[in-house]
Amino acid sequence: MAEPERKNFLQIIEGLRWDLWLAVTAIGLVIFGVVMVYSASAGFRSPHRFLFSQLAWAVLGLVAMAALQRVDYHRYAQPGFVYGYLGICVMMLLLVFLFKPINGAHRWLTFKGLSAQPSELVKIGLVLFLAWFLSERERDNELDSFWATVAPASVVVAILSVLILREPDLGTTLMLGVIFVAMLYAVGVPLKHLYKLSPALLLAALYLVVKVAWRWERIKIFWDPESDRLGKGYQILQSLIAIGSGGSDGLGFGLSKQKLAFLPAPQSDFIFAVIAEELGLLGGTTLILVFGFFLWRGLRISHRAPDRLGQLIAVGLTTGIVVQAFFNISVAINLVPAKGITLPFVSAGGSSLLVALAMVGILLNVSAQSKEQTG
Amino acid sequence: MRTKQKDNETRKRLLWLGLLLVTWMLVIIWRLTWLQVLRHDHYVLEAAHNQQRSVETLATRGSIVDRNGKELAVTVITESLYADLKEFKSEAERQTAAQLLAPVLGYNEAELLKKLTGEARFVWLKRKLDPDKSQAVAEIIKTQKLSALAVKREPLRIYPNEELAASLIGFVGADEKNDRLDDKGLAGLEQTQDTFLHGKPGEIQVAKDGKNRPFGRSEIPALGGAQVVTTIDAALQHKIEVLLDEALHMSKAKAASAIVLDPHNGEVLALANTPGFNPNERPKQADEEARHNRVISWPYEPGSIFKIVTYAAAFEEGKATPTDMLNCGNGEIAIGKRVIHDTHAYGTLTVADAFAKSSNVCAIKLAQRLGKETFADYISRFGFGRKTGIELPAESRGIVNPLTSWRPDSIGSVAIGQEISVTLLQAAGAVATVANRGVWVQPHLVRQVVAPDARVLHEAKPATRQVVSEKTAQMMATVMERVVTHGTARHAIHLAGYTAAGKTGTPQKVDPRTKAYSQTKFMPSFAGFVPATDPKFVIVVMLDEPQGAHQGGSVAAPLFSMIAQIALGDFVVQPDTPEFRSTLVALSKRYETESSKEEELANPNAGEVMGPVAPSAETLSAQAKQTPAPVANNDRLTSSALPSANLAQTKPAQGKAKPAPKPEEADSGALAVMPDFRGRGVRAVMQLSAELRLNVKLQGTGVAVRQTLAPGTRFRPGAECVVEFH
Repeated sequence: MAEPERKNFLQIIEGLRWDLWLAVTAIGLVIFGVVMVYSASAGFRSPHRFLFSQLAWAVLGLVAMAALQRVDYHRYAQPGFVYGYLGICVMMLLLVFLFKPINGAHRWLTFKGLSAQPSELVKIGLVLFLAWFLSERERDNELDSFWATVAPASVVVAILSVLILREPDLGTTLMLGVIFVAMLYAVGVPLKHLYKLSPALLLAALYLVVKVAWRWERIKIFWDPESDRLGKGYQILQSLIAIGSGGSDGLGFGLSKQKLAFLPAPQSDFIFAVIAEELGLLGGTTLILVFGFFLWRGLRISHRAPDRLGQLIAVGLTTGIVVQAFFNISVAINLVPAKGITLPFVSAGGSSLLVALAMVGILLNVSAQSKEQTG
Repeated sequence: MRTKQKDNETRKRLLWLGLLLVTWMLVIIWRLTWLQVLRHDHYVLEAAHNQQRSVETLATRGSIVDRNGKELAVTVITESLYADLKEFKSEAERQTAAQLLAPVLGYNEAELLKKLTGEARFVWLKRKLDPDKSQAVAEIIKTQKLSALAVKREPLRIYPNEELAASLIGFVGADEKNDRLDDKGLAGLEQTQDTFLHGKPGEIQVAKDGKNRPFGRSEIPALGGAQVVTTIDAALQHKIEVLLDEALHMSKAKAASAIVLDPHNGEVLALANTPGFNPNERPKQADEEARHNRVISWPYEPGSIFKIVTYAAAFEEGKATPTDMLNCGNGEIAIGKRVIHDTHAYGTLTVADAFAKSSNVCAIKLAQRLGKETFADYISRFGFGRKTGIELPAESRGIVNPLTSWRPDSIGSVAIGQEISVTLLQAAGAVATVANRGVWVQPHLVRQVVAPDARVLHEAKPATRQVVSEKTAQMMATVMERVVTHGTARHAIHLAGYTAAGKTGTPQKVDPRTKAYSQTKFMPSFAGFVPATDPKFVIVVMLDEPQGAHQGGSVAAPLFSMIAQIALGDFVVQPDTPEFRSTLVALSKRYETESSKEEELANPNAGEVMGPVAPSAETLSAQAKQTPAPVANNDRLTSSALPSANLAQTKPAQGKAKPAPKPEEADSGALAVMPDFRGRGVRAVMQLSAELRLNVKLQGTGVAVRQTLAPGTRFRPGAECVVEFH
């Protein structure tokens, strides 16, 4: 019917069954991350250690991504799998308390020098569980029922949250909450149900923030980092100095000074400060826009998903990644109070990178099954 | 249908979700722009502050030296001890430190322990330690491993001659703004030349990481301050101060001041105020009185000295000549409502005698001839009522009432130096005008300012002003000489070989209670110059409230005489009295013929005194009686000044005006002893060499630093000596 046309490169990509743009974005971010991790860890005693471990995890992550891209996402949608997965997560979350804490937190399972954060795995587990659970509720036309839908889901989220909160890891807990709300909203749960949740969330937040002393301190520091320059305001101030002194075009790649024992965790939680210092507003903004592009591709996949399950998986994974990225950056520029949370794909951190790439793999599988559709 | 609706709903919700996140993204980008563009400069500073440690390096303040390069004020680097109290590891360590250091630092142990207790990270224990103490402290710190204690290098301004010229050198204090010690001039030349003397501190910048580990360094070197070369002659200054101290002691006066000026170029050779103070002890604000520079900041009613202005104006305006006859009205004149008396009732005198005898009546008559407008004009032209602009702070302009506020009798008062206040420096300037052919030259204290790299930053360029004609100046010189030969100072001034000119003054002080002239409090003074025929020095002396004798002629003039004698000797001035010249000529003739016989006699005990002087032993001893004892005894500054003082009288070679002897002839002449040229100027060296018939070769300019023939060696006339100047 249509006359044969010569397709250019872009049209070839458009014609692919799976979203190559998303894959390219993710891989690009990972490569950029490896380079920046190398630069940011220059001040450490063994400057190559982070490079090699990041490379290793990146390779592992890409393998996981390629593998999961080939796994039909419908196979996750069965009670045996989701509950089994969540069960393993809960077990691991309990197991971390047996290991000795690192920096005062039980976040890591360590085995022969390798360490992994189970809380990262929980993110995937929650997305798959909610996608399966909510699409089931919808099929049963019970989305409008608070007690049949929102309440049980909340219980699962609450259990996971409390466990992760005990580590303590407020950042990841927050991410779970964001994923939960985003997916409830996307599936079309009546807004009034969401409102019903808000007093409980507010109370919980207030309790956490006010009752736990060091978090309240963090909030105060957030308002005025200079109030305690050498004490609690030190970290955030170092980050602001790095970013501010970078200026519009940065000090040049590899030339960050703040990475030299000024910034806390320059290769992971505060890698954005190093990026902004070395590459300036130009580099920082580009990175943010790349995450914006990732958001668009992710939501596009969700919109084109063949069924509710795919749609929800895509929304959950996309918001999970993008919100975490924005949150990490917002911490570095003191838009939100400081939390320990990594920049997806870019920060050094094995399990975090592996999980992020695994999420992309699942997203790609959803995109591969997308229905032909315009818009 | 339902799916379609559902699809739309989902689409809408996804859109909202995206929109929410995009909004967040935009907020992030805005915040990033704010930080990286709008607040960029702020954070660049923060980063520098963060990533660099800069240590200021000391810049030494420039020294102040006299005209011969002798140091009057220098800065040395000392060490100051401080403690970081958090570094103390135990209470025992504190106690050990207190116990060991207390005796060295001059504290008692409990006092020091109290200083060492607390959490402060920086506590000064003792600043500017003496060198031996800082060594002892370093030893204690090292052996006891007291890591809490450390020293910081700090400058210390030292005035090596203590009280010498303190009122004009001034002193320094700490700059509170930057806690830099001893680099802020608080008085005298230290204050006015502060910008030259200041060094520029250097800076060592050390790049450091977040754990304070250094990894790079750059240095901007410190630049020392410039050297201020004054016009002062330290040796002369010292002798005058000793003399004034002695005079103060004997006369029980409250204070005494003197100034010696070169009338031709305005250089202040000495400026002394006594009692003085020791600038090493850093006077407090309360000692204002002691450190007051009376010569420039303290106007007083000059009395009869001011008649110089009155007479000079009258001569210049053709209202009188020295030989005119003037009726002194039997010592009484009525002017306005006032009747003014002379100390002696004179009849008719020549103008010169009227001046010499300091007749008030005649001075008033001359002033009346001038009229007050013309008179006031001369007062101003001689420099009264305005600052001379000398390089000292707090110079007074004196008090000259404007014509509009003169009463009818004011012209009479001003003519004899009342109703007007002047500074001693202004008076010296006026006398110098007479001595310098009627040209006023701005008095100054700074010859030049030399940067550490030898660049000359400032060279004295004194302003000049023709006040009266040369002829008038010449007439004034004659009448002033008559003061010394026949007038109020005739018994007081005896200079061996030199003529002198001047004017006495015995102003009464105004009693602050009664506002009337006191009958018991006087400020006797003498202002004049020597030699009268070819003036080299203008000297003004003043005593404040001496007990007993209080006449300018009897109290101040002898001081003038002694100062003049010293200065004339120090600067090797050729004697000018005819008698002295003829004596010398006669002596040298005798010397010519008997020199070969005298040779052995002259030299054995010659010491520093030159050989040819021996025959004039009578002259020497005669002069020794006149030379004030304290000078000879207290000459702690320089002994090389003495031989040349004596040498001044040995002018046979020039007196004879005979061509210089040829080397062969000279060989047969007597052996002379080599003088010490070091510290003398080119001119003095040439003059001396000519007198000694020394074949001198000069190298460089400035002050002699090296000579090929060592001082004290004997040489034959015509011998060659190379003198290096620097």
